[in-house]
Amino acid sequence: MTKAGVVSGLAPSSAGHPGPLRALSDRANTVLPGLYAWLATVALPASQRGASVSARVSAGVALVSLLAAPVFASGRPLVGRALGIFGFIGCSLLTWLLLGAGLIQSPGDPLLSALGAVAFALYALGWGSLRRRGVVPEDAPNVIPGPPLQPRVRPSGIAAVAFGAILVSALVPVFLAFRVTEAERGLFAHAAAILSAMLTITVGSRAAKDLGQRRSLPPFAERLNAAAVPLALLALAFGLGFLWLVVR
Amino acid sequence: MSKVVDALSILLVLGATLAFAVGILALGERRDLAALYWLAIGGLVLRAAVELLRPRSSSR
Repeated sequence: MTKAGVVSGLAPSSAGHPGPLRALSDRANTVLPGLYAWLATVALPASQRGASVSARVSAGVALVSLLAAPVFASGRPLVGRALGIFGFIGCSLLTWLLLGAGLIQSPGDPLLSALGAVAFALYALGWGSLRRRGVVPEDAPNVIPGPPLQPRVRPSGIAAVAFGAILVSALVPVFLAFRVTEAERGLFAHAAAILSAMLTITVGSRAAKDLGQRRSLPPFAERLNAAAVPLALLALAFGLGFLWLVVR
Repeated sequence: MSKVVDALSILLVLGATLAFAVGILALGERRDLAALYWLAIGGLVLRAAVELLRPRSSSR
């Protein structure tokens, strides 16, 4: 790792403190997704009729925090980070809490909410550490000298394709959960979808990584035998499902 | 044959996501029992994929 601040995304992008407009354009990778997320998921429900004044004030403070964070990011990184992460996210959460049932009853488009969630994810990624252009991490004084470590195995080309397919398919339930309009079922749908996506990506990445690699695994028959219990339960479940369809 | 099992595990993972997606859709259509059924199917398919990848009897 290099010296603190050198590779940080909060490091000044130019000498001295840039002006507010320059600071906003420098941090466009956080400001733009943050602005979209705020508009789609905070401002829209807070502007509905019946929203409390406190919720609207909280939404306004969230916007101010979002726009003020880049201004402080270069001169006072701690303040910038506190405003951008804790101020903006905290005030957005507070707005949702203050809206209460109004948030659930908000007639927003589910697709807009889904895109807002993606924008929040991009906003979080934007606050991560970025290597500045022209800076080589290996040039830092804390780096231990020596020959570069070579990877033990190179993943096959099909592994990337398989991982991409698994990643895309794992996100399908997450987006489908936004179609569940009823509050209680929607909450359960989102929880189940996120859990399923996490499990699928965990198992799928391992499966994709192992594709086309020589490993000292047990033989074919033993591996199938190991999966016999879940596969038998699966066959039983399908049988019961078929029976249920027939009886119904 | 090891490659066949690897490919089968990938297919099982994709099948699990399909089952989860059907479960979420069923939840949206207020078919709670069907939703739970498909979510359980997804879990079982994923479990089978894990067993194929890393058999518990293996010494690794």
